[in-house]
Amino acid sequence: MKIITENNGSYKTIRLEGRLDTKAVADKEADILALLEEDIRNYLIDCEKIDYISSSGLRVFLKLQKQVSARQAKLILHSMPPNIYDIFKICNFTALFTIVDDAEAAKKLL
Amino acid sequence: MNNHQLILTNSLDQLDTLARRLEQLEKDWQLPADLTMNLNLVLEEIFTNIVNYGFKDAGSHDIHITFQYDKQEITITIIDDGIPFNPLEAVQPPVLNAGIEDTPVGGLGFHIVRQLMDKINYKRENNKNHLILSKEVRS
Repeated sequence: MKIITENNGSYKTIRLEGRLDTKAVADKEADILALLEEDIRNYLIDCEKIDYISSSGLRVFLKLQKQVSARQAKLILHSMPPNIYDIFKICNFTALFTIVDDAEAAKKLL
Repeated sequence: MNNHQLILTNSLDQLDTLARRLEQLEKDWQLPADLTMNLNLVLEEIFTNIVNYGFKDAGSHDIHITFQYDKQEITITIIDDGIPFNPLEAVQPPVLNAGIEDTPVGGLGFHIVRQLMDKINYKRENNKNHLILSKEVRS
């Protein structure tokens, strides 16, 4: 898994790429959760390059969402491939996250 | 009928071997990419569970995985010599309609397995767990 971040002033973009499997998550979970910052309230997660996700990957999203909600910040997922969206859907995660088509649609929600 | 067997040891490092083998099967058996992704996911959840909770000793154990492809159906059998564990009885479905605060962080793995496979059977035989899963292949 690769993690690429970009600070855009009022919001931060986090791009996750590759496999979000048990091993990758064990290695990188702390790094991902550490991307949340005290003074940034909006986070966009670009999911376009995620090509695999297991329950451990879903749990990282859940932890991010819980931390963001606790701070009344905003987390928006975008550009999610259909096969990844299907996994979110069968776990009912589509009800827990704001997921939009692309970065443009995500920015409109900020 | 096509058959393939894979023997993994009880270490999470073996997930890479599993993923590579599925890529190979996808090519050899010309399976749809979405299907192999889902099979990889199902096997990762089951394998991780066996490695993390299946053994009381710290020793090395083999986990046998066989794949059968016959008449538009893939059947996967996973055999381990860990403690008796029938996931069909033991694993309660997670609460899926809770709000974000109440959604439990655990319990998702076997829910995914149930959702993605058509049939799941379990038997304990010769002191081993046999989990048999099948899925129709739609091309």
